[in-house]
Amino acid sequence: MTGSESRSGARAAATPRTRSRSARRQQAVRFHATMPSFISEYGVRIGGMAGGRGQLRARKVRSIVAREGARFALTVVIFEKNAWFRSGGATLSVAIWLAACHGPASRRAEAKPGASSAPVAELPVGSARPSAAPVTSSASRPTAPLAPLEITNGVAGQFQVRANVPLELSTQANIEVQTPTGKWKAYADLDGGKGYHLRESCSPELPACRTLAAGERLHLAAWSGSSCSAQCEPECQFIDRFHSGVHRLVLHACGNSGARYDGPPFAMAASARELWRWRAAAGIQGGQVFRLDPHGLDEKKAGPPEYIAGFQVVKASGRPVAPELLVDLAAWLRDRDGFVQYDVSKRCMQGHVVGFLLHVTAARLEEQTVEVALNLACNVSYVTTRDGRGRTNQSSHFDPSWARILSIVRRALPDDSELAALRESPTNFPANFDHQPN
Amino acid sequence: MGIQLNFGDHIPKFKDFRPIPMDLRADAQWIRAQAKAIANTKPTANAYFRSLPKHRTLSALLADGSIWVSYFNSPAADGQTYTLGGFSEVAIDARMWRAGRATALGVLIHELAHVNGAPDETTQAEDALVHCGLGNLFELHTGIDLPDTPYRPGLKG
Repeated sequence: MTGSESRSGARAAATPRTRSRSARRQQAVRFHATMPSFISEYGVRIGGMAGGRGQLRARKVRSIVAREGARFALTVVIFEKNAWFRSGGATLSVAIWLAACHGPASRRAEAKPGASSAPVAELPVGSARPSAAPVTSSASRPTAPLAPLEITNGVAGQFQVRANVPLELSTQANIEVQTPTGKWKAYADLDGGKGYHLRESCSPELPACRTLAAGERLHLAAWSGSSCSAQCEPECQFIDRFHSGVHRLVLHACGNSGARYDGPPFAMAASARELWRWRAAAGIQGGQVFRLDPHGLDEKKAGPPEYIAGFQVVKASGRPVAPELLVDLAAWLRDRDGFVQYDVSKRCMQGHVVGFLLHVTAARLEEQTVEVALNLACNVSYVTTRDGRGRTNQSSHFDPSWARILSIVRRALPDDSELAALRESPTNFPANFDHQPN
Repeated sequence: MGIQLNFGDHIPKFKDFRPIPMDLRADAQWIRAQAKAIANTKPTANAYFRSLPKHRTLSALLADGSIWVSYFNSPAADGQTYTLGGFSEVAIDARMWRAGRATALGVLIHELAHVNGAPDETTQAEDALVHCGLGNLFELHTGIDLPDTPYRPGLKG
């Protein structure tokens, strides 16, 4: 949805007396769209029938609304309280007459010319009227009581999708960026032009469409924030371009790229290294701290428990991290000004290396572990996370917050005399050159 | 005009980067000339640099006048590089200058690999030394650091 579309949608919702015919039609559709979700959530039935026939009824009513531009539509909804009377072998059926009222015929003249006339009857029952429909196409509109599709943002680039009604979606999705003028523009170069996809893993099989049952959730393979290695492409031939700024995920109905579901906007991190730190800091449930062998680096070796971010764990050095220290560690990882914000490289000794193995909230088992290695001899942190591309590593320089992380590490390993002896930051790059001390 | 040595005619944004002291300027000119000789005589050097993310050869980097080489004094880092506003600033630590020309040359090659996009979290920058004749394959494959070369196997960053 473009910015102008969004504004028109908001205007329609705010001034119901003057809204267009298409908006009234959409209200009716939205009403019916919520019904199948009630079936799945609460076990109620529509029209006294099983779910499938109830859907037929809903489709029929909505067809009338669409075809006739009906001023007045009526639906019978019967809630069966089976469970309550099951023991007695009886069923109580409560009939509720729900009227979907539409404005008088005279108001039709107020409808804007050129208002959408998409064939609503062709839509799957329960789906929001996709696309050109500004009011209901957004999956995140607060005016809709229960959107047909909910797109939830996790840490920037992580998405969860939940269908509230049965839906068939194209697996070809879009990541859109908000331009300075407020318009949204889709990237065309993600994953080498393949684009972002509605997929949970990067397995080679990817059908053109994906059917979601009501209530079904998908945790999508995350977007890395970059162009070239965006979701499933593991390697880049060139320097990858990272996209900071405001973005959103857009999904499409199967076979109809114009029918779309817009996710809520999110702010992407300023750099890949910051994004990795955000992901490491999100939802930490527990953690362990280790001393790492500075000479034991082997990137090809497997990860924990033997190796953390490529460094070999010193045997018997592990100990749990207190919850309050995990809070401090997460806050440190999220603090932009605690890290150098431009491209820096240092040829350093590797020494005083400490590792954290963090257990974070994630849908997939392999994503529930994050590795953080700190080279305190060079003020470099290495964060290793997992996504659809496997294990990926990003380094950051923490010169501006050396004292802060040293304090955390010392509290986590209070008996470590080597860490206790550190007195001076080895390198002193500023976070940015706006605040460089004289 | 090629890569430039900061003899006091350039002010880096990072104030810890300073002009190369007078007594090291001959060494600085020697390592720049030696780096160009490596690029001209060792095909593996340009081939390796072309494989790095920005795909520039060592010859191209040495011909780039927007790259400055300075001096700094740090207890830990041998060399540092940052890129800002289209300029890349490379600095070689005082200890490396004092350790000898070959060591300073190794640091310069390492930092130029970073200018060419070698990521910090890998050993790609340090491995450039092997392809420039400043380390050997034995060190690369075994990880054993021989004291007669400036190459330090396994060095990240």
